[in-house]
Amino acid sequence: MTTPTILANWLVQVGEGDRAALKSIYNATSAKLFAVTLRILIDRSEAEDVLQEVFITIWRKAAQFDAARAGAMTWLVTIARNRAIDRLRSRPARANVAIELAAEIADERPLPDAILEAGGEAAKLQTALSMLDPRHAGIIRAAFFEGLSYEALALREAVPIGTLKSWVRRGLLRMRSELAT
Amino acid sequence: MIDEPPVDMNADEALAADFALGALDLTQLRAAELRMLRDPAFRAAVEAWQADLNTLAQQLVETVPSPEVWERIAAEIDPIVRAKAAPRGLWASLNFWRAFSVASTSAAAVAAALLLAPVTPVSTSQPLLAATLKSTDGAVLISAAYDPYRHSVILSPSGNGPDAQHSPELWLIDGSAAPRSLGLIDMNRPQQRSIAVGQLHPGVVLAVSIEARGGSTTGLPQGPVVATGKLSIV
Repeated sequence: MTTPTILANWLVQVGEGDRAALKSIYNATSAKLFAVTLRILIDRSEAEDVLQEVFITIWRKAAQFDAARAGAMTWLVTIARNRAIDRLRSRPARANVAIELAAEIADERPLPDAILEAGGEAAKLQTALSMLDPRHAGIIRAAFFEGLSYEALALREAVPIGTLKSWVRRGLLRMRSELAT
Repeated sequence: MIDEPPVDMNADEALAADFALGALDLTQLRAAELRMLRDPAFRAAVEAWQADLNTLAQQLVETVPSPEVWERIAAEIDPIVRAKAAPRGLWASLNFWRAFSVASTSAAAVAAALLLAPVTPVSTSQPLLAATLKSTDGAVLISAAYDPYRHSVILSPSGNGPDAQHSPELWLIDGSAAPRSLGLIDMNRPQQRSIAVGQLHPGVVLAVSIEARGGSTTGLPQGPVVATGKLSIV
């Protein structure tokens, strides 16, 4: 298990041009970051393309990583999500892969009890989300994992976009207040 | 569209949450990225939401990518391999441009266009200028290089353009002077823009904005600026 401190140190080294440190980060995080891009893009080769872009971005931007501002994994996941969502939004509308046809979708699942009992950040977040209206929590999860826009989410949920935004933002605020307790 | 944020979240806070969640459409996304650059309070709000939300990724089942992914990354960050690689992507094409400006006879698209046109001698003291136009998240949209032989800027776009209702427009920004349009850009192919002698020098900024189809009607950027890059001597 790579600790956040080790990961942050590697990022600092990558910022200094250390290619071996980038490989270490890749070994430690590529399976997770690939799950992020694959869940959003569905198409495996496109998700791998984007994963490559993600690591090139990490290589170029590592010097901007500031451990005082963000956790290393948060920073890496942000890059992976941003690149994947960028790619998703840049697709011609009809090129979007029908989710029903995707045989190999990386799935997400509730955290194992052992992790929940350990009570880390992820466990707190899962607990906070479980306090929300299940439908609202589901929409927040779909936005996060699938990279869906408000427009797409509103279509899927068959509610006006204003209603949907209101649900999501209220849900996020509620989630945040639960996290703070 | 105007929609009511919840009473305890103002429009800026709502935008920060929307952006961190990843629910914006492409145009809003670009605008938010630009905002990240110039508004520290907004950036801090986005980062706070990212810190809250991104641990969700722990719930994803890890999936191992194919080994070729690392091989491609390694090739791209290796300076020797990179210089020899075909000009795929802008990172590579900037290096390609450097190589070309020395003496390369490589027949890539940009070079071919240049080699076909007649050239006039130019003083070797004329600096070669280049800029990499990046979005706020570091994505390279365009690499630009000044060709002193032809007084032109050579543009190599990344291929990712906006939807058909929008047009990317290139701007030249010199100090505090008003931005000057260098015209619309086709994001799918290399191209050049003629430019008067003396207008480009180190420190001049090239920027891309996303305008309504056909470009700005006022002579100034009307849409969000999605990428900027400062010219420097190669």
